Order: sequence, then structure tokens, then C-alpha cells
Amino acid sequence: MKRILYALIILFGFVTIAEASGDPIKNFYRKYKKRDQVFNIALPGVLTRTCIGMARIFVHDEEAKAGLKLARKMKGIRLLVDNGHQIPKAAGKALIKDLGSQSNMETLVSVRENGNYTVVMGQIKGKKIKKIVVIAFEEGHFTMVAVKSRLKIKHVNQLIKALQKRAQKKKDKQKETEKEKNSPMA
Amino acid sequence: MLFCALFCFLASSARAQNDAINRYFEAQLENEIFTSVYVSPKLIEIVSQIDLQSLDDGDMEDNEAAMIEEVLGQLKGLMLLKTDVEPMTHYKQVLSDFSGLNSGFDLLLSVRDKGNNVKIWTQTATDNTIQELLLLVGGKEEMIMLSLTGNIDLKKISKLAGNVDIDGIDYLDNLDKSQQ
Repeated sequence: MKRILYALIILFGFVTIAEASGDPIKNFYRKYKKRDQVFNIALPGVLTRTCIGMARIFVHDEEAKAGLKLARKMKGIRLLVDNGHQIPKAAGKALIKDLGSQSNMETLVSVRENGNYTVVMGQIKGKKIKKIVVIAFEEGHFTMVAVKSRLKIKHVNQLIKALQKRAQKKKDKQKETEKEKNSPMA
Repeated sequence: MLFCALFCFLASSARAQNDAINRYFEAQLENEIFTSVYVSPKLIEIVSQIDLQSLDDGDMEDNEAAMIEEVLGQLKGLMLLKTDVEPMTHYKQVLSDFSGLNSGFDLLLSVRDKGNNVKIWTQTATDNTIQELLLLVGGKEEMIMLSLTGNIDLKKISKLAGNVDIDGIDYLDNLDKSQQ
């Protein structure tokens, strides 16, 4: 009986520790969202999908429809923008480190230029983009965008094709109007 | 026995060279006088799956999109460092760090282009494919260090010059000139 009790205590301890450490993005967001001059917004996936689903009813444009279809793959969005030196640079750097060590996210791109630093981190499993986090430091400004998604490369390709179709249609239309203008009858 | 020892030495020195590049890059990553760009193999893998040919709105030459797709398919990573603060000092520093280590890197090209010293090194695998290309540019105005890893075809990689907007990549044009 004692052994079972010990095992349960240890198990409970592990669960509590795991919950306490949690998701670095969530912890960071909760810590800084209420600071002055910090703009924050968190859209749960259900809300995003419902809004996009409703918007699709009223949209007839193919390109916009493809864009919305892509947006429906987003499971949740968190945005944190600091315009008043509220989030220390060190905290941002610690977040990047935690994302790598705790959330198995890897740096996809990082760019540093003129004191500005932007890093895009992602969690990609197979062909699915599960999480994307963009962190940007500028002078006195900090921006974090975290997106959970079910996005696949084929979805991006579908959007590109839709955009291309539209561009081609525009070009054809332009050519036709030019032809009409240049025709001797005109 | 001797062969094994030689192989181990060559393998470790090649790794030491790669480490030297990575170490230098990581050391300067926090240095604010440097512009740095890092593109991970994963991102290149994703971008190479995107249908770039569909993005061609007629501005690209024949097969250009296909060629860029092919080059991206070969690349595994990109690192860039650039500075305009004491460029020659940094150029000489990298050059001495790099030349100090005897490794599997071969100096492919050394030219003066637009008033800058341009050096290109490559590291080849046993099957003669190029696994890494390192470009170093040093002049009065800027120092650029660009490292490309992957399975690199020199004929194709030089085509990136002029098609991709990355500092220093236009110097790869020299590869094309030297081949001619």
C-alpha cells in the first residue's frame, strides 16, 4: 500500500512540475500581457475557424477563398507587442532558448541587422507545420507572434496557384483590352 | 593501420574546419556590428517544396524558376555574416583563422572584384560532390562571409547570383566567369 502511495505521490509531483513549467509561449504571454504599453491578443483556434468559416460564406473571390482556406488551418494565434521597453531583451532571448530546449522548436531563420533581431522558430513534423513563432526585437520594441497550425506545404502551393490563376486572368484581360484598342475598327 | 590513422586525421581536421566556421559565426551572432543571416536546412527543405514555377509571373527567364527550385533542392543551409566596421581587420582575422587549419577545404577561387578580395573555398565529399562552399569577401567598405552547405553543383549555384537577393551572393558570379 505504501509503495502505491509513494508511486502516486511521485506521479503527482511529475505532473505538477510538468504543468508548472508548461508551454514557454503561454508562460511568457501570461507574464507580460498585462504590462503597460503591451498590446496582446490571443485567438483560440475554434474562434478563428468559426469566424473564417462565416467569412467564406460571403466571399466569392477565388483568391480570397484560397487565403481563407489556408487561414482555417490555423489552430490558435497569440500576439504580444511591446512598445514601451516593458519586455527586457534578456527575457526574449531566454524565451528563444526555452523554445529550443523545452518545446522542440528549431530556428528556421534568424536575421540581425542594425541592432534589430528577428527570429522565426518552427516545429515541423513530417510535412506538417505544427507551430510557428516569430520573435522580433527592435529598438524599444518587442513583437511575438505564435501560431499553432495544421498547415501543409500543399496548402501554400494551393494558395500560390490560386494567386497565379488570378494574375493570369488579369493579364489576359489587359491583353484583350489592348487588342481592342489597337484593332482598326476601334 | 596507417590508412585508418590518416582517414581519422582527415575526418577530424575537416570537422575542425566546419567547427571553426560555426564557432566564428556563433561568436559574432551577438555582435551588433555584424549583420547576420541564418537559414536552417528545414526551412530550405520547406521552400524547395513550394511550387516556385507557379510564382513566375513572366519576369523570369526560361527555366529560371525550375533552376532555382533545383538549386534550393540541393542546399541544406545558409549562413551569412557582414560588417562595414573595420572590414579589412575582420577579413584578415577570418582568413588567418581559416588558413591556419589544414583541412578538406580547397581554395577554388581568389580574385579581386569591385575593389574587394574574393575567396571561395569548397569542401568535397569522397564522391567529389561539393558539400560546403565558403565565400569570403574583404574590402575597404565591407567584409562578407557566406557559407552554403548541401550537395552543391558549382554550375548551378553560380546562377543564384543575380536571382536571389542575399548580400554577397552576387560574388558567386565569379564562379561562372572562372569556368568560362
